[in-house]
Amino acid sequence: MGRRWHRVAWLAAGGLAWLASVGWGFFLLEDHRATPGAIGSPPDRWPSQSAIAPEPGVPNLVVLAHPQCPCTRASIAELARLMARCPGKLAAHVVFIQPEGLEQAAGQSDIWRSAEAIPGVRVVADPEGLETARFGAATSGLALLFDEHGTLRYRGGITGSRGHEGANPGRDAVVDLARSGRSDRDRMPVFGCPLFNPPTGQPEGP
Amino acid sequence: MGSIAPIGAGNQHEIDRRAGVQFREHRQRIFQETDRLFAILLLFQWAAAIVVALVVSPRAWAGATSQVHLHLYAAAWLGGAIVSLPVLLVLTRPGAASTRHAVAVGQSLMGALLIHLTGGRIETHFHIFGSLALLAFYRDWRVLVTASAVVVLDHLIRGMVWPASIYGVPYFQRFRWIEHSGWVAFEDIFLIWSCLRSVREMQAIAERQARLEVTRDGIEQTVLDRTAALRVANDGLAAEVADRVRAEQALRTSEARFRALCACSPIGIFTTDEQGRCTYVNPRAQAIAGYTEREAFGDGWRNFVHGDDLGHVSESWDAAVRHRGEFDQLLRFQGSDRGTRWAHARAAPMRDEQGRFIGHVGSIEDTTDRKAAEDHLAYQATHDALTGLPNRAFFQQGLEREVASARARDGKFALLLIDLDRFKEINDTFGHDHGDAVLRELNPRFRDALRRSDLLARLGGDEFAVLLPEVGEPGAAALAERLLDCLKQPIVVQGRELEVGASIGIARFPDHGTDASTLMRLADVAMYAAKRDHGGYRSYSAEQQADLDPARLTLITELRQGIRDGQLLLHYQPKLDLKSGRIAGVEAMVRWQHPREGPLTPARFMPLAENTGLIRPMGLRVLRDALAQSRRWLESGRPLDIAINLSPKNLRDEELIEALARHLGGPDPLPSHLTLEITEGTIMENSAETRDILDRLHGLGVRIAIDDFGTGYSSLSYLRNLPVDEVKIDRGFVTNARSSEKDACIVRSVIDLGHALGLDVVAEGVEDPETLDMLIGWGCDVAQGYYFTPPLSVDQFEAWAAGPKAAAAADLIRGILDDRSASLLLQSAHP
Repeated sequence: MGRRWHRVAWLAAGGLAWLASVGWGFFLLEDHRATPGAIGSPPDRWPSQSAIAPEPGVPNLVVLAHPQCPCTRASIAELARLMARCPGKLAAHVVFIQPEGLEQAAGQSDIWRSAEAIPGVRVVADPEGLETARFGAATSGLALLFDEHGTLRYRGGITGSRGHEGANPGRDAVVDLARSGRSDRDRMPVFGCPLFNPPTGQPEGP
Repeated sequence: MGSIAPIGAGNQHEIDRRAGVQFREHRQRIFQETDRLFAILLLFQWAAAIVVALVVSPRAWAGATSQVHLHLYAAAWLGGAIVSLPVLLVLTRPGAASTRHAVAVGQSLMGALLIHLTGGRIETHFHIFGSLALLAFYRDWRVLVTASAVVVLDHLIRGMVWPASIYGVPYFQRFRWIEHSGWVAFEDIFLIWSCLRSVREMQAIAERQARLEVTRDGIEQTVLDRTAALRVANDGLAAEVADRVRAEQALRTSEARFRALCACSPIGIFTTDEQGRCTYVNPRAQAIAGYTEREAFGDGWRNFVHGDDLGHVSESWDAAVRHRGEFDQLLRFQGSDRGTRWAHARAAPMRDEQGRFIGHVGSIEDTTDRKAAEDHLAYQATHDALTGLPNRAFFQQGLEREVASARARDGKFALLLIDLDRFKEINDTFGHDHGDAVLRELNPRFRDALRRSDLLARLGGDEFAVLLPEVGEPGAAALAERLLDCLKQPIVVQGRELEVGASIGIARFPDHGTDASTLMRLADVAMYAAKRDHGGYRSYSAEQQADLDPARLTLITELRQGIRDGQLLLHYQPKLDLKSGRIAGVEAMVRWQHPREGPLTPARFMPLAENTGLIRPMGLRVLRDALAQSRRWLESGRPLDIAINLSPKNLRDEELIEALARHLGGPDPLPSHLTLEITEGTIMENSAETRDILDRLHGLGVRIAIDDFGTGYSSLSYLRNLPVDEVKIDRGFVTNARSSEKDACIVRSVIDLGHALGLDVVAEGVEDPETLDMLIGWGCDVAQGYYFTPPLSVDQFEAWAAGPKAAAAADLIRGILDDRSASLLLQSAHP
């Protein structure tokens, strides 16, 4: 009897330790996923210096993305769902920054191809990050919605967490704004990789 | 032998037990198999997680710089951590509940990791449901509950801590959590129901299996029991077979031994079947009976039985077979080349183990030699070895048979008893070989005189008997005459012509007697009557009735036996010389030491001996014993004259005379005198013949004394004519001489007469000294009497002669003589 309980105790202890370690791992993982990036300082109006021409008569959604950021893949997927829910009522522009030193061209990434495959979406390469800078973005996946008048109506991500697809308030806010011009939210956290090299040479996240 | 047991309470319990065991074993097997499956799946998912991380988010970027993405670390390390415990438990505790639940937790967590790594793709969420479905492989609803609980708790915790990662909104959405949990529960309902149903089916299958097994076990046990029983039976059968084999071997050995024994058996052996038919005969039986085995088989053996025996043998054998009894017969076989063989056949019934009669086994013993020996013995027992004639026993049986036969048929027959005359003389004179030759010669002579139906037998010694069936008085007399006639021719033995006579007594049935003993006795009486008449034959007559006193006849028979057996003893009375007082000799006197009555004096038996002729053998016996004693005294250095009394028959007994002549005329004659004392009456009978005999005896040196002188009516002239040497004054005169002047005068006259004739004078009956004194005074030569001593046995006489009494008698006589001499001298001196 004693040996059995002894074994059960060891087993329980081992199980608990295992659960703890696994829970800790998940905790770290969840914590990383829930940690948003910097939104940056987007302009309140469509930047006039931008080489990207907004689509007139409809709200224009600009998504700034890093061509290798895995988290942005979820943003592109949500963009596709968003564009599907707002056919003809929204113009989207995905601007892929081409950071200096990145060997692979932005157009060679799967995210580029995914974005390019979304109807109503213009994919724009930003080789030197000028456009990205003009839109004041710092984190990949930042979505900026300008109404037909060029006024910034929304800023933030269109995913609920880092790299996580699914319904989320940012995407719903863009859809609402595109459809009705109104939304309860005008900003949400953005989850993605930093678009620019960190000053110290050490990437900021994830 | 067992039988399949019906399924009852006991078996149901066993079925339940076995079903439980099988169910648990089956589940355990499922658990272990599913454990291994999930161990593989978990390891695969771990690899898949790493691949997904490598594909989806290998690196994290910041501008143009990048580093390994956290997802890749998570896939490697967290995935490994998730997998480690379940896989470890699967390896160490396969089938254990903790292993299953650890697998369920790990599988759920692996789903969460994969969903996380794939960015929460809706497709990846199918992993959760797929995992639950796979966990349903355990068929343990508790595992499903555990997995579902992990999902629900995961969504609850993360929905509360990181709601955006679950619900896409920064706050906890309770209804969505419930919705998520509801879908999981929805699937769990079906899966759990499926598990429970599957478990029930497993239980049912296990029960069916257990029932089948119990039934199978029952059958197997029955088979085992029956097999064991069959094995035991088989072993028993094998042992029985072995026993039978051994028994058969032993039987064959016994059979071989039996046949070998039979082959070399000195006894004939045969077997028959239950119907009495011969089935086996050994070589010895074949040799005895003269048949071959083939000839003896069946009833063939009967052909070899002697015709005279076949009837009673077959009857006896058939009875033995019919009654299944024993058989015992003497029979003759006539098949042997050695002629007819006597055999003793015996058989006993044989029975098998159940006691059923199966035939006979028997023996045949060749008894030919034994039969011959028995016949020879029987012949010897019933026949005289010397003459070959039937003996007394045989004759007695024949006589009794004839008596019975004659009584039955009212017939008649005659019995003849023959006693040879002068046969003793032949024996004593020429030896027994001559006597035997005479007896042998008589057989054919008598045979020739008789008919074939007559029975001739030798009763013993010189006695013969003849049984004449259907013969009356004339026939018996005629046959007696013929028998006597056949003796008239002398019998030549070794060149000597020997003559024998016969005295024949005849008794007839039923005239003289109607039983064998009476007839024998009467024939004996008649025979002695004939012998008294000096031979010839006599038929029993009424005049011989006087001789039929049983006591007398018994005494006659005993006397004959006594003579033969030496019961007659000689006593000796000394005779004293009255001139010197010395012993002049002795007179031998016979005494019969009767075995029943003690010593008998001659007065008791001498008349019988005289009348029956026994005086002759008695005289011979006395003579032989007296001469033998005289020779012993001579050899001891004390020769003595010996006197013997002879009857008239003795004196005319040629046999006695021949015997006396043989003794006295032989190479070793007696040195002393033998005196034969005969009475005046003897001398007077047939005086001429007597004279011849006395002359012969006197010529042989025998002194002749006249006994009882003075009591007869004889003429004194015989004293002058006969060779007489001595006279013995009758004791009556001597005893009375002292009291009777006349007797004294006679005694003195006889003494003077004897002296005048030159004879010695002996006075007997001296019983007192006065008589002795007178006898000496009268010049008597010798005296004897009770005054000196009565007759004494040899030992007593020798003691007396050597003792003081003899000396005293001698002194007395010499004293008287001296007194007489002195008196004479005195008278001559003073006339």
